[in-house]
Amino acid sequence: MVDNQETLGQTELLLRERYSFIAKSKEEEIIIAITNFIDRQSKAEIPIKTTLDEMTSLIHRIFDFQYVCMAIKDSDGKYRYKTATGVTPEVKKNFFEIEYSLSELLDESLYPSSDVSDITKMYMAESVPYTLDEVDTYSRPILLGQKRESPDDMLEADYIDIYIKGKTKNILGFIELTGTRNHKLPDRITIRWIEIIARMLAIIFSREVGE
Amino acid sequence: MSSGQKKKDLKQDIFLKSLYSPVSSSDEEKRLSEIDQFFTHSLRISDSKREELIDVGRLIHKISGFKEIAFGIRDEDGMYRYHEMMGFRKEAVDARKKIVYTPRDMQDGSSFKSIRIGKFSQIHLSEFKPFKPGEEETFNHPELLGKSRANPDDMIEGDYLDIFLFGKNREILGWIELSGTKDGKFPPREIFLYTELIASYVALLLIDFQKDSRKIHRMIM
Repeated sequence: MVDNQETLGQTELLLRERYSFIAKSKEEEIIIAITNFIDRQSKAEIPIKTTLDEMTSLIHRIFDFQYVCMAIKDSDGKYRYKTATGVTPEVKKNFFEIEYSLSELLDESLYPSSDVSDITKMYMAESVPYTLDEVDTYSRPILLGQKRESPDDMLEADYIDIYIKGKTKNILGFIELTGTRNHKLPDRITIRWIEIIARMLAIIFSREVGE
Repeated sequence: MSSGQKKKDLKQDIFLKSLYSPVSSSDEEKRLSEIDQFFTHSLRISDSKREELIDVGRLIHKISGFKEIAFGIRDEDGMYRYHEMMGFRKEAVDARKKIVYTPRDMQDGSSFKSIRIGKFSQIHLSEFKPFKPGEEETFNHPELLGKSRANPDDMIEGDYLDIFLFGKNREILGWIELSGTKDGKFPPREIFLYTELIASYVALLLIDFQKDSRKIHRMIM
């Protein structure tokens, strides 16, 4: 009986220590941040703009990107940036003035890309994936001509779009990621996590618009 | 540069496709791949609560290794009942189907001693006898109830994890009950955190289904 009581006490202690809600690794930090984000969505009717702001900040805070933006499709069918984190107010203003039709967004002659999954496209500096009008959306346009020394470098002109696709694979919006703090392309895990975030947002947005 | 001159660098393209190939190499990637597939499927089947819960159960089983998974949900009459159950013998399922919890039962934190963990969860230990008299049949192996725990991290018959599903103002929408791990041990902490993440999504699903059901109810009225 004494042994049983002792083991039970050890079990209680072990469980309390093992399952605290304080992150002990990068993976846990991400899980907890996303859990908290979804929990907030459950607690109140949150306007889409606030959801976008929160998610943009979350991605900027827990992943290694210098600039994170999000665009969604407006009721007129045009895609417009609604959030931008990590950029100056002037660059943010420039982002918010841009709009794309679906065909412009997917125009490979303007924006050549590499598909790395069904929702992720990478736009690399060598293909000049921007127009003259968009130069002002870069924080350091002077670096746009930068040469790549190693294939895993991430240059000023490189960016990644992760699409938020609805039920019929229609594009509801996208998350745009630019510049990493170590100037290297993000690792596989980072892309996988942000793809999960995009899938989750697709569900939230689809339900919001009654798709 | 005119738009016609723009071309992607093929070497860089090959490098990127290889770097981000969809083949999962680490345990974390495998888990993410499962979650990714789940969300992709969830978007398509979002009209059926039953199908969604079965999918959630499968996901939890794949990620966590829990063998017994039950979903309890608040019904329209405000009472809580078990809905989907996986990994239980028929008698245990039948016994659970008979149980009805009141809102007071759900808020009751004193009748059954438990250990609060994580953000939404509590663990019930076999030694605390976390069931009412007559509910022994709700377990897969009632004959093993009361068996002593050999090691502190053993998960034995009678131990279970409840993850609560909260809505507005912390109203309880339901719960997910998990027991019986493959290796007979309490799961590692990151696995537990994944199950809480999945549970937070289930809460969101239930809120949506609630809204839909109210909409339908209003239309009928």
